[in-house]
Parts: sequence; structure tokens; C-alpha cells
Amino acid sequence: MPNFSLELQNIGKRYGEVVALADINLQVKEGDFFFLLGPSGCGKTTLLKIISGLEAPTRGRVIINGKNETELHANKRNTATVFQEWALFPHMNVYDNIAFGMKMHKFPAQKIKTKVAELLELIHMGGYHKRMAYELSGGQQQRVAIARSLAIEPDILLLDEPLSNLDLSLRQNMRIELIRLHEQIGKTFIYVTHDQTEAMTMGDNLVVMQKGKIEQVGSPKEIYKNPVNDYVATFIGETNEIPGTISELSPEPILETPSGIKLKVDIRDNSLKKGSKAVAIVRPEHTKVIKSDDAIDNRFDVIVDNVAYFGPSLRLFCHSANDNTPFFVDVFTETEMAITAVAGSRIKVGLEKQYALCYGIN
Amino acid sequence: MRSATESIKMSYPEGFSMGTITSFKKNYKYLLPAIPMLLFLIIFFVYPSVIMVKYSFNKSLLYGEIENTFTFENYINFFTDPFYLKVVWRSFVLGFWVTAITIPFGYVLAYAMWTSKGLKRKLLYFCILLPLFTNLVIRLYGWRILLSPMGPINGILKNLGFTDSGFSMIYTKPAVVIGLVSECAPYYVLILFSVLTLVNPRYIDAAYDLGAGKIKTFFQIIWPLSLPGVVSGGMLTFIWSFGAFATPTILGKPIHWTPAIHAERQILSIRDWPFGTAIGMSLVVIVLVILFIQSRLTPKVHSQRT
Repeated sequence: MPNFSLELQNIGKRYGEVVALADINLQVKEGDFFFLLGPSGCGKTTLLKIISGLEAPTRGRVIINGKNETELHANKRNTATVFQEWALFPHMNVYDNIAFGMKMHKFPAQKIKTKVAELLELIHMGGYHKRMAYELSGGQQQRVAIARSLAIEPDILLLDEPLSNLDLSLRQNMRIELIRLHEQIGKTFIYVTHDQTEAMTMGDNLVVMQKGKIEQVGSPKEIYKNPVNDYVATFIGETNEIPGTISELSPEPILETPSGIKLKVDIRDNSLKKGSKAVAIVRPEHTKVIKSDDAIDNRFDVIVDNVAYFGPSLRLFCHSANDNTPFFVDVFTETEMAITAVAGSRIKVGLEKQYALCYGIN
Repeated sequence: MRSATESIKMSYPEGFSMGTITSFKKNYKYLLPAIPMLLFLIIFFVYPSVIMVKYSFNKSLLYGEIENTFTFENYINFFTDPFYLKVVWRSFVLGFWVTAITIPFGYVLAYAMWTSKGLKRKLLYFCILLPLFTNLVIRLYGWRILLSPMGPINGILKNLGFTDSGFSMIYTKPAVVIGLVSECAPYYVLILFSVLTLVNPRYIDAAYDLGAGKIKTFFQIIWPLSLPGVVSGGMLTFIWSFGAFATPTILGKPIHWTPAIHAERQILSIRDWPFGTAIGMSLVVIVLVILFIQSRLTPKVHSQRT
């Protein structure tokens, strides 16, 4: 049995009548860079607070390093949180901010001194110890907040959307910095975000949440390739959605769109029956622009509305020639197709059936 | 704070130019609606104050006439007479006690209000404001009834057998202090409450998260961050008590009289306007000196929106 840093068992949280979290079960391996991903209001921050002990769950158990710590208040748990607005103590300088947790944990004075210096080196901010929080830039405050949390040597570092207040270039630098820190320290990081790019590019494992429930747990690759439902599929990565009705299940499942296009699809939802409403999820990189005689499972005509230049690739924003279902396709800039595609032109797109993931619509 | 001063600087261009004139004209336009109040203050506050200042340098004659001369005599008399120095000192001590009691007790109230929500907070707010709906003199007579030898407090103590004749609580220094605490506390609480609401709850979460207990979180995070409110509310309490008039008159004996009461006696009873006004002006100067020292001693308040 692998060592779990964190186990959540049947965690539920309600505020009066409002259910914030329902029956959360989760296991996080030691040393994992684990992501809680979901739109705002999905309960991910509440879950983080329950892990840190700042909020008590209505039911369920929080097990940290094999010990049931559900009843333990935040100050007794060996977790540390990096808050969204960093929450550096404004009346203390950088040194005192970082030393605060160690003083509370009664570290010996000499250790505090060396540890602060060490951490300031780690975050590339040696010599900043006398600065006040408001004298630092956003990125520096961010790094001090991380150092302050790491100072108490937590078993689990919790990060609550720590990069959302930074501008784009700084955010990208900090992502790399965080990955470096994680590798260097080797502790479990649990990171809350609504930014799927962050979760996909940084995480070892992630959980996709919606409305207080876990939709799927897995590595970014697993989730991208095999999303359990259309919600996860559309939330992770970019997708085309083609709605329709299942007109045939055997020998070959067929999704018929309202305008009569018949698509061969890959059924991903066992509850689908003949006649049930469904949606086919198609990633833009899985569609091809084809010539009329190419052999492919599905082919249909679209009309190009708009061409967006992305450098290595072009994105063609189109709509179906039969109805107005929007559809977009990515093509490499250097191909013949890319050169001839202009707004208003009619093109053929092809799609292998294993890339048309079909889910039921609730 | 910083942005406010910057914007003020920006609205006053450096050097004198036509631009300066137009910008001043523009600024005057904004003052237009303030003119009625400004006139009111000039006529009923600035002008009488100027007269006061003038009188304080004049000389009083035997039957209360004022001789139009220029002399420091009144001020010298006030600041060299051991009697008046003692009056000023007693007022300082009175202010000290009132402030020392108001700060912790008011803090508890403001803190309770800050941590409560919804109806409970509204109720507390209402209870704190309620005394301000009643006239001060009426409230003070209420205290007189409460504290008098025949009053309800002594009634209870008599029934419990602690005393036969009742304690003499009225006309004592504690009575004056109690009266002033009840008078200043609402203002102190409201000032402190408004400062507490600026404390980001995230700081408290962060402190808990880093291992601080409730007591440490209070003394290391909440208290220092609310200190600006304690200082300004405390200053208000101190200055209010130092210059108190009604409370020492109604709840105290002449030995508890503040300089303000002596100024009034000089003017209305003894008819020595120059000396009375000199006491008044000296009070103003003393208060300004206290405020100046306080502004120097208080550490810079850091922006909490970092």
C-alpha cells in the first residue's frame, strides 16, 4: 500500500441548507503535486480549508499521514497554506513574516535564523529580510508567502490560487519556480485553481470538481484522453461540441445531428440508448481538413467564418454547412490547406470515430 | 493614503502661471456649496475665538471691566499658580484613568461586535448607539440617582447587609470616572470597530494556519493591526475627559473640577473674562501639544491592503 499524505473520507460540508461539498473521497500520494481544479464556487477552496483545519467538515474524516486529524484545529495541523492574496502580515517585515510560524512552533532561535536565511536563498530573495510587505512587488510577496508557509516544514503545502493575482508573464515564471520548489523540497503540494492550463502543465495528478462533487481524478493525460463526462471534457482542454440524438447503437453507434448529419461516434456513456440525446466531444487537433476522396469515418462540410493566426498553427472558426453548429479546426501554418483557407470558403473536415467521444446530456 | 496625497499635490501645480490661476478658480468652484457652513463657522466659531484670544491678553479691572492692554499676566498667573497647576494635573490623572478603563472595556465591546454577525451585531451596534440618543445631562442625572446613598445600588447593598447607611459613591472621583467612561465609550467603540473591520480575516487564518493559538493570534496579529483605532479612540477619550465640563460638575465635588469648569467660573461668577479666557486658551494649547506628541510617538500605520 502506498503512503498517502492525505486521505479524505466521505467529506461533506453544508452551510445551512446549502451543500458546499458532498461526499468527497480522495487520496493524495506523498510528494505529489496535486491539483484541485474547478470553476469558482465548486467548493475547491472550502475543501482546501477543511484540509488545513480552518473549516470543520460537517461529516467525514480528514486523515493526514495516516492519522485522523478531523478534530484538530488549523494551528495543530502540520499543513501550511499559501493564500490567494498571500496575506503577509502588514505590520511585520519579511524576516518576521517568515519567522512567525517557526516562533509559534517554538523552534530554537538559532534554527529560526538560519532557516529564514535558507528560505530567502531558496526564493532568490536574500537580503530582503528588513523589507515590509508593502514594499515588495506582487511576485516577491508571493514568494515570501510561500517561504513563510514552508518555514514550518509542513507535511502538506496548500496553495489557494496563489498565482491568480499576478500578471501573465510573472505567472508563467512563478509556475516554473513552483515546480522547481516542489522538486527541491519533495513535499506534497495541493494546489487549488480554476485555471486548467496551470493544472495540466504543473500537476502530477488532478481532480476536477463541479458543484461540490468530484467528477474525475487522474493524471492530466488520463483526464484529457478519457474524460468521464462531457463536463470534464469541456473543462479540460478545448473542444467542439456536436449535439444530436443517438439514432443507432449497433452494429455501429451513430449520432444524428438535428440537420441530419450522421456521425460515427465512440460511446463513452453506458446509459446511452437509441433515441437518447447526446453530445459528441471533438478536440480540434483530432479533426482534419480533407480532400473529398480521403478515407475517413466521418466527413462533413463546414464554412470558414474566421481565421486566427497562432504562429505554428492556424485556427479556423467555422460553422456547419447544414446548420449553424460552430466548429473549429486547427491546421499547421505551413500546409497547403492553411494557405488556401480564407473566411467564407467551404471546406471538408474529417474525423475518425474514436475521436468523437459521445456522452449523454442530462 | 499615499494616492490621496499624490492627488492633492497634482491639483496644485508648482510655480505661478496662468494655469495656476485657472486651477485655483476651478478649485473655488467646488468650495461654493461649502460657503454657508463656512460663514456659519466664521461668525459663530472663528470670530468668538478671536475675541477670546484678544481678551486673554487683556487686563481685568476690579468690577469686571476689561482694559484694552497687551499683557501675558493671565497666562503667567495660570501657569505659575500651584492651585491651577494642581487642577491641570488632576485633570491629567482623571483623563488617564478614564482612558485606561475605556481602552480594555471598549475593546471587548468592539471585538464582540466585530466577531458577531447579522442580528447580534446590529443589536450590539444599537446598544452602543442608544446612550447617544439621550441628552448627556439627563444621562448624568441618571448616574446621580444610581449612585446616590438612597439609590438602587445602595438599596441592594443594604438589603444584602453590606452597609447600613449606604456607601457614598456620588461626588467621588470614581463617580466622575464612571460617568466619563460611559460618555466616551460609545465613540471609542465605534472608532475601534471601524478599524477592526479593516483587518483582513485572512491574516487571522494565516496566523492559525502557521500554528498560532487564539491568544497569540490576538496579541501578535489583531492587536497590532487594530492599534491605530486604540490610539485614536484613546486620544479622543483622554482629551474629552481632560476638557470635561458637565460630568465633573454633576457627579463630582469642586476638588474634581477640570480647568474648563474653572474657566467658566472665572467668566460667569467671578467676572474675570481675561483670566477665564486665558485658562480656555491654555487648555487648547495643552491639547494641541498632547496631539503633537502623540503623532510623533505613534508608529506609522501601514497599509493593510498589501
